[in-house]
Amino acid sequence: MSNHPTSVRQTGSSPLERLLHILALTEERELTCEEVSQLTDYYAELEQAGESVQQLFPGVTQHLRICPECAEEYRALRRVIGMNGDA
Amino acid sequence: MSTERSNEAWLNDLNADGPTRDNALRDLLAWLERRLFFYLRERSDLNRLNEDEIKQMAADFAQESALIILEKKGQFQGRSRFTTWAAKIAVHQALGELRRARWRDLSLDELTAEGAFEPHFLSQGMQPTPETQAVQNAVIATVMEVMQHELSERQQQALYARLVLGVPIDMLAEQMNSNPNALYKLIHDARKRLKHRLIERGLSPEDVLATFKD
Ligand SMILES: [Zn+2]
Repeated sequence: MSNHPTSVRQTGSSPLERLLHILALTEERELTCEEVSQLTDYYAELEQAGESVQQLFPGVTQHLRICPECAEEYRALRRVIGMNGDA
Repeated sequence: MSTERSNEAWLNDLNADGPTRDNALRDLLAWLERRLFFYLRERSDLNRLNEDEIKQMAADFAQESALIILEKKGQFQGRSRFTTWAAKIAVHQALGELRRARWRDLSLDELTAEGAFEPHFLSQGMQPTPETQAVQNAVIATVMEVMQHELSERQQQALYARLVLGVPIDMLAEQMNSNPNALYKLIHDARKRLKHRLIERGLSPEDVLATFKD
């Protein structure tokens, strides 16, 4: 386990802080990965067009902050469709 | 090469027969391959591969994705450009495979055998001052109490695998004989439970984190 590639243990903060961070981001209602993936193409184009996607789709923004896989896929999508910079 | 088609033209062409369809498919493949290549080339975990190997990988992913895109094109709702929608599917396919390769040997029993949410584990790396020690202890006590009395074994296991080990949700779902959606909800319920209890005791996660940072 200790040498597993993406173990969160390798990141800076302690397990307790990571847990608290996730809990701080936790909302009563959240979209699932599947629901988010229905929207990310649209969301990406709106972001590309300079719209404030956080306000238009707060549920998607929240999910992208809390779910590492969807966040990674979103970053990749931005790159693939030619958007620059960090998500 | 034209990815300049309108959404309607993409759908018409891909739904057509003969050369029209072949051309559209070829354009789509070429576009996906090129874009995936640029992306994959920048991934630090793939920098052991040379340019040709990355090209091959991009071609394979484009090929696999194109099949899925053809299968799903009836579900395209036209909210984005067709290519953006297609890219989303390709990225999901490609990254899913990369995750799968990376976590191929995952055995959840093994991963969770040595670890669990225990006070000693949770406090790893913390450097409490006399002031924050009490808060830290109270948080850990609450977390342990919820874990032991309010969360199922599956919730504890899923939370640990996901938050501590970083196991991707799709891989974890397979290991736990579940599906990503159900697993997401299981973990979400666990997170909410923990958050509620902490807030009830005046230990809102935001405030506690701020205390630790001071
Ligand atoms: Zn997700």
